[in-house]
Amino acid sequence: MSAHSAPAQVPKNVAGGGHGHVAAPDREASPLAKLPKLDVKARLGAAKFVTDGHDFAHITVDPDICDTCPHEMCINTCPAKCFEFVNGRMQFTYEDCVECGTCDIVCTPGSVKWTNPRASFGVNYRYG
Amino acid sequence: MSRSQYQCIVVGGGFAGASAAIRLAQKGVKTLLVERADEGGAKNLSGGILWGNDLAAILPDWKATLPVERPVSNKKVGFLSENGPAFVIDFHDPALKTQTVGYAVLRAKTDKWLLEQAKKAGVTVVTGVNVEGLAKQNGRVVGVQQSGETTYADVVIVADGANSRLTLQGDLRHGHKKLDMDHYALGVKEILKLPRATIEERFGTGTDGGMAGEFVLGRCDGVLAGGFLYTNQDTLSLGVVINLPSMKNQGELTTHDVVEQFRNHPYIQSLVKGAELVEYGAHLVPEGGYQAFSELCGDGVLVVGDAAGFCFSNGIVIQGMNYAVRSGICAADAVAHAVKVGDFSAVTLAQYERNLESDGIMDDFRNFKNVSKFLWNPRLFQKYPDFLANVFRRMLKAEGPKKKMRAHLTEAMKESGVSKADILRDGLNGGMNL
Repeated sequence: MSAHSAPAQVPKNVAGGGHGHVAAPDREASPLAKLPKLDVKARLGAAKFVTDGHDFAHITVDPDICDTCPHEMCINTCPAKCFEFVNGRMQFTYEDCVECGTCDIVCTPGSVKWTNPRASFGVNYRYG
Repeated sequence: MSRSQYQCIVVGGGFAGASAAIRLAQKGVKTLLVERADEGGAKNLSGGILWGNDLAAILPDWKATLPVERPVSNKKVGFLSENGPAFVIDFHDPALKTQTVGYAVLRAKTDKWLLEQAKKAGVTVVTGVNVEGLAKQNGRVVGVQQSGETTYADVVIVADGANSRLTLQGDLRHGHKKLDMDHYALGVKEILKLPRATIEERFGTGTDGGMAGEFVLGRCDGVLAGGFLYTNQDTLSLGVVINLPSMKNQGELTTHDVVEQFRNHPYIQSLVKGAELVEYGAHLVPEGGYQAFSELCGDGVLVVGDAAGFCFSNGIVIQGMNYAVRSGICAADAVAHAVKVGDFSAVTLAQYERNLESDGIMDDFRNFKNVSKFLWNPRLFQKYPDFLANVFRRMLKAEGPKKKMRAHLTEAMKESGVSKADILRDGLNGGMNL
């Protein structure tokens, strides 16, 4: 959907827009779009993580396959905002992953390779 | 006979796995439970209401000892319009404080407790170990793999939750290599801290009651989502359940925006204002029901709980934990039977399926097998919240000539773009499927 030549960083704290997205509904008209926003990364700060070393990413993506993706639903659906285009290439940040598995389900082109983090690593809920 | 000191390995220490393991130990089956979190519950998350009394079958005193938050004595079901109005049915029953039907729970507490009960029952509980796969020999499951090593057992119970890696790795999903987007919703949840006294005053729960609210989120953009808000002791569980396919073609809208928008709806905001966010998380909801179960048994293996797809939804309640308990017990009983006859083939373990039938679980899912089509009806989210708001606005308006209810309805239908045929059809569908 979105052109990869578009600015790499999806602006945070902006619900509206849909720039370059042909089928995106007119969200500016929605009262929801005007609400004050709390960045998801700030919200994630409330959850406790034990981050694995950079030698082991439990989820990997193949950016070449991402280039062929017609929908990029991982970006929309990941509740932790772990997927984004950086300089036109799909980049995945596993440190904030809450291990829900959504990206694996929505990734129809087969770019996402999903495994559990190694034991003792990853999200660590205190409430759940 | 067994190459292992354990007859059964249970993978996963949630409600399903813990219940299965406790039942097995009670029946004298040597059982190992492996949980990947360092501490029970640390990887687990649910909306937060444990319905029913199913734990009583294995833990008769559970109501006195399980660390619960609050019994549900107030149920709200509401339609929230995008531009502010809220139509909410608000059922209070003080009797439910003592004759309990459900409790708000937090999994980090409950699941830790469940693993303690498992240990007490005689289960060997190992935490902080991530099972990477099912070990197979000649197509038969013979144990589990972890760090290149195999731990053997006569039978393995897979209880690794909604995002079940083991049913995928072990080829227990009818040939599918991936979970099907159409059969899963995404739950996104926030824990909001609020003083106990404030909760009790604001929600009118008293010290001994609690509120469970479910809301249809009116949205014009096509995203299909429901919201929930539950009272805990000194926190609130707030979240949304989002239909994943409806997130397609939504521009830059994200799932974390949807939960934020729910929290910021004026009605919800009035209930959560001043609360401090202390945790944020997410979890898949296997709501595909009867059509979406994994394979339930194979040679040397059974699948229980969310991993199998035993999560029930009828629109008013989503129930996962109680079905997790029941399916775990049904599987344990099948394993105990298999131990008795000394055969762990799929044919013998299919006793599990017969147990699920006699328990009534299968009937519950069969009776509601078309409910998700009704629930994820776009009109429910795009039209009806506004329609209800329009009806009530009109009825409340004192200016102008008085009109009959029928006239209000007709005008509201026109304004909201709802036709009589829609209401008739959806009403019938609801009546037939709910």
